[in-house]
Amino acid sequence: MATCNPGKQDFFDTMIPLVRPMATRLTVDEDFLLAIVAFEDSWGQDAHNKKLHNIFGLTKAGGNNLAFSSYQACVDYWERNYGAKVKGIQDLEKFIAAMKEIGYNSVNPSYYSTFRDVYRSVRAYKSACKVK
Amino acid sequence: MRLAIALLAGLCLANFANADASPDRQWLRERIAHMTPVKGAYRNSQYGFTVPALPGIHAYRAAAPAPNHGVLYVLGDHRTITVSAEFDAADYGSTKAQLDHILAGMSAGSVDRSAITLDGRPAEQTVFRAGDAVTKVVAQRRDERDGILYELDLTTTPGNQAEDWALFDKVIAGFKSKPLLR
Repeated sequence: MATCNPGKQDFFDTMIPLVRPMATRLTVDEDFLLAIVAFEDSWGQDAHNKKLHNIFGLTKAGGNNLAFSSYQACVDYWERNYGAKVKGIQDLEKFIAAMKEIGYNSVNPSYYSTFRDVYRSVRAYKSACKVK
Repeated sequence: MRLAIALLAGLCLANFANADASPDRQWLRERIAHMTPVKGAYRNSQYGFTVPALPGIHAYRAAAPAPNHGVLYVLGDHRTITVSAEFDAADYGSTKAQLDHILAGMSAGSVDRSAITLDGRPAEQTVFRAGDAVTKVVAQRRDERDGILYELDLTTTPGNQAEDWALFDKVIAGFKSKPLLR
């Protein structure tokens, strides 16, 4: 049973206003996008990504994380690069298939099964934090 | 002369097409799709680790702008080593729980596990066979910040097990954790 805490509350308070408009535009379940952010940005707690405004773990050639001028710039970049590939997806397994197709993590075979768990955590904490 | 050149070109094309359609080449093409070659040692500043280059072995990481979680070494057909890291966003909370999750995802069933050290810190490893593949997994949760999960996987065949284990041991021995970025 998940219990809301200040870190998780802050995550939803910060990320939902960023992610929800994109999810609406793409008609995709916003919890998929929140799960990517939770996974790639350690629930918004990664100090380095925070400095870079990089909530999706996006990289530049060479492998280091990209720096954005704002969180919104990062969201816009993600949508430009991947939005068309996930558009209209409401089913978790179809979303995972799209991520595989994109090559979001082409190294670790366990990434996507962990992603399922992160997604379930997002749903549980969202409910516990009474997020609308 | 023109006819001979045309026949030769056709023959070359046919051979290339046949080679291209072979299952192994297909496997490699799919395995490294969306990846980019890594030259020399692999360093990951986001998740704080490095692993060495293996002489004569091609290595790859995810191509930008996808996240950079780790490195894939291609040892041969259907034989790979992967070294990767993630934040513990699913709250596994321990190396044991992390390995439980990995093994469940691989449908490994009940397998023997043993303690190992990875860069001087406690880790767990296991070996199991599924069909024609032999898989060895090393897991370690780094208890820093909210947790970082390191996972090293070897997939090989019984026939290549000895040589590939030696390479995997080199990767394990060369794995070094680094301070996390601030």
